[in-house]
Amino acid sequence: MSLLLTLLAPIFATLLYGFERVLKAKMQRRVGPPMLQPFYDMFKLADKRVFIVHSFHAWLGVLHFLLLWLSIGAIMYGVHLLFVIFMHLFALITLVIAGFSVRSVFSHVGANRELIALVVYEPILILIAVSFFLSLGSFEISQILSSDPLIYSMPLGFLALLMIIPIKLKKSPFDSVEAHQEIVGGVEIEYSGLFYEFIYGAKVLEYVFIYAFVFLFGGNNYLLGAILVALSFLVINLVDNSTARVKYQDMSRIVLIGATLLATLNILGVLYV
Amino acid sequence: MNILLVSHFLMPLFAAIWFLFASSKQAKQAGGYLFLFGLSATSLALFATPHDIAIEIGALAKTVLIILDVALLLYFAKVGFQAKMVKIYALALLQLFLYTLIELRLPEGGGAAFVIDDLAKVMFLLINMVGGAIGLFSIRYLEEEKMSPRRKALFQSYLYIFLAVMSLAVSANSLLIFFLCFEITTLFSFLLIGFRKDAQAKHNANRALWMNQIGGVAILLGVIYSIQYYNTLYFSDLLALANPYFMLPFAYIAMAAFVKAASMPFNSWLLGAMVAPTPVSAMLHSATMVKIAPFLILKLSPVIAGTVLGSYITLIGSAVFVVGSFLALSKDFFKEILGLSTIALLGLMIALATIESAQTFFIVTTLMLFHGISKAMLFLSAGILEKEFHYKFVNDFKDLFTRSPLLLTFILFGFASLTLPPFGVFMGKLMAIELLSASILENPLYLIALVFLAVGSTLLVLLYFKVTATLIAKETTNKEKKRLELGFSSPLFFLLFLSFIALFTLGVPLVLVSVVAVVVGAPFIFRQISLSFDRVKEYACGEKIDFVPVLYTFDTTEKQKQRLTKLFIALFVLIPFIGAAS
Amino acid sequence: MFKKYRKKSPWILHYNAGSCNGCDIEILASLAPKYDLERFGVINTGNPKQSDILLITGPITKRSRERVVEIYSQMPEPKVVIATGSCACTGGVFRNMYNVEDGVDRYIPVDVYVTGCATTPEMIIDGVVEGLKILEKKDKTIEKPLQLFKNLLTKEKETNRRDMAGTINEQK
Ligand code: SF4
Repeated sequence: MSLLLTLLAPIFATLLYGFERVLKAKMQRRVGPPMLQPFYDMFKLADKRVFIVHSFHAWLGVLHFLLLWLSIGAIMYGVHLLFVIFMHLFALITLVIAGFSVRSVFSHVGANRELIALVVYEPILILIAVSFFLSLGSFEISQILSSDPLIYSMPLGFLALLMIIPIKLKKSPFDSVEAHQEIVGGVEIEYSGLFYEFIYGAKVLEYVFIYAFVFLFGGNNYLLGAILVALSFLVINLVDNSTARVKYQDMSRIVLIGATLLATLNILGVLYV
Repeated sequence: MNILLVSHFLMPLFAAIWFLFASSKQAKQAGGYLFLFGLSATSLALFATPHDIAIEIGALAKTVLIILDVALLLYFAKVGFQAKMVKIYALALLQLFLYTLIELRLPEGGGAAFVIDDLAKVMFLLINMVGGAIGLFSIRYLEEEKMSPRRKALFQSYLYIFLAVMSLAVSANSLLIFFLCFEITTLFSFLLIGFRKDAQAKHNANRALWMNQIGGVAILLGVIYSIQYYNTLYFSDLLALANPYFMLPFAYIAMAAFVKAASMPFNSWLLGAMVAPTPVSAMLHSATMVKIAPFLILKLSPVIAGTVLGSYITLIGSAVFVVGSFLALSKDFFKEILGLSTIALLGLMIALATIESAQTFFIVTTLMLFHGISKAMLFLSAGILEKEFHYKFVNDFKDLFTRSPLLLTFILFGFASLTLPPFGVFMGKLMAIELLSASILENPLYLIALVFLAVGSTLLVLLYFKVTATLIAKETTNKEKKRLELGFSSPLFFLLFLSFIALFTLGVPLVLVSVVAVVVGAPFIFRQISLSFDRVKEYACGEKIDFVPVLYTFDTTEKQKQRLTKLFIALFVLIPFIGAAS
Repeated sequence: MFKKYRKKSPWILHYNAGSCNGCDIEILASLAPKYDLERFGVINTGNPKQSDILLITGPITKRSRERVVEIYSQMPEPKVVIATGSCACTGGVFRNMYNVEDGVDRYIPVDVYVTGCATTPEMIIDGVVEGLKILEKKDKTIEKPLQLFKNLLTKEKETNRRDMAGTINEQK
């Protein structure tokens, strides 16, 4: 079962992404692309001439995808939550290194912003994981999924998580990391064709990663988890459609202070309320 | 058994003598390898012995020790007078005074002078394996150094004596012997930092000397109070007798640890050590000297863990972790960046060492070992950069990718092993988070430490990988490559090997280890496959510009720095009061 | 095998080689929600390495020649160039001026010409659809710019197109 989920994760993620594009189009009163559009994109990308800047750079793109997949696999197998978070960190670092390994301005700017974003949301993820631990006495995901729903006891943690989802998924108002047309996608700029496909895949895998995190708040009530995911999905897209991009300095300030505070209060809440 | 012990302690001394007299290059090289493997073998053998070993010494040896102590302190005073630095000779004389006081009121009853317990055995591994690798490296390094063969030999033997003293220090059971070793490490760091003999070196050496003597004073005060409260001189007795109402001696010893760890406000001595030849920095940062600090706290951990003093130390340590990582973000000098991150990580180790748990010992020793290996690797790489490529500032590193991919791999591996799974430092942090979260339930103060830990470790990630930015950008033109010579690369390979081997002791899943092996090795294979792909230029909006990556920094103003220093001085001075209050 | 998906996901790169901005606005209009080109899978990427269609406006001023060729050579094949607006096709109102090269097709091969000064979103969409038909038929051989082509290094296996785009000075 876990293996199956892991293997299907990219496909599911791509569908989710396709759905999101439709949803966004509907929110803007457009028709929007077909649900399967991301698959068409993937197929097309496989049919292009393969360009690379140098082999190390291309390899890191592939590695980024694989490691991200691995960390999602780790979630599906229900292992240690912190371990998942750090696996994910590892995956992102490979992307950052890739961004730095080419002599391209945009790539470097993107990689730097990616790093800053990492500094911003990584502590929050850790703190949320700790609050899971404090209320359950375990970091194991399988434990979390077999306990009572946690959303009631730690709503602040949920809010903190909601705050960082836009950063993870590169959505307004916190999409300065990727910032299409401004820094042309940041780290992904030098990828094309086959290798861009891996980056594309990794991008959609992030959806699974972060929404799986949201799902955990539902505990053993899978329906509740699914509702939470659906709700946050809606909210995130609504916010994405209705806000403008903030500068990355402001982003780091807002999130670092706001979300850290929320997450810390959340821990205190778990301890004393 | 005894042969093993004797050979373990004498081998570094023997090495020191060997290098004093070996003249040919081959003899030196052979010695380097020989002692590396010899030291590794003995420390591994000792590590494998199941029980603690206690050693007593006779009256004669004690007299010798007293003479040594006095001579050492007088020498410090002399250095102070020569340099006309009040701080140095005042502290030396103060220590002399305290020392005589102690010798006059020596408590009755003896004990084992040395006890080799589990902690000491782990430290042996760290000191001798990593230290041996650094010793081997410095042979090749010194060939590039401009100094007379005589002084080179001297330098090399200093390094090995340093190792011997460290081995003694970690196995000392008597506080006075520990004090002596502590002072000898101070002496050797002073000599080694000042080895290049220019004004800067002298200045920094003197600073290291007076700062470290504060640690000496703190230890002596600790000894005095331990005689007063517990009437003993021995760690083993202290740990057995300890009473939560008389924490003062431990508070003083902990102060000494903070000095040695170069925690704020003492960070300047360790950063000043960079003027010395790079093997010295490597030695100080990885295998010796600063590692006394977490060692000491860990040794005291059974008594201070869980007390007010203990949580106070945890707070200071974790604050040092965050501030150290943050300050490092504003640096451009490669060794300085490494230095500040050492200080930060030492803060973390100290912070963790005082938490009450069965796991503490394992976590802190893991952190120490892996930090030692990684830092040694990074500093040795810094040495190669300096000698082979004449790079010192990160902003010069621009073409490393093209010129020496192997060296780049080592540096990247060093960074990765300090921050990413599944390496030891990372695993240590992971377990630390678990540990802290479990401790929050008992003492909510640890929540602060936890937040500091989470923020600090991501700051370190930012630090290392922003440095990577300038290292790694691949030059498009073809510059000439430089092959690393064996003299330079073999210690690095040894350390690489060590860090992989050590992973197995952690019980890291094999899957992960192989993932990392793939990550490290695959680019070289992948290069072959990717030949059939088109190479294109980087996108720059069609402009034909050359992009030169530079390091960006997060500056702190002078005022902020002063404020931080003041804060940490206050925190430091408060330690004995907290100790007395508890 | 994947050929038929080319037309389902055409990613567009839009470049202004010295136009009066009239046609650029029309292009953006056709990409914006009103005409909703996204329903055909069109994305405005802004990155030549990830795009299939180059929508180019303007008569190619002398300043922009090198850039156009550089960007063109950074697009992976198969690719289609659509000259958008009269001035991109022939020079239009700028024809024979001292600072322009009349039309994009002096420098890079153009597949579809969309005329009009300014052209209209409907025509652009038609042009794109026309371009997609051509795109589907193309193969993956390297397409070279007509001028300013410097060199394409092909060793036995390795193809290096770093230097495909030359500079004006080198040409003379
Ligand atoms: S065709 Fe006419 S409207 Fe369009 S860019 Fe040229 S001059 Fe402007």
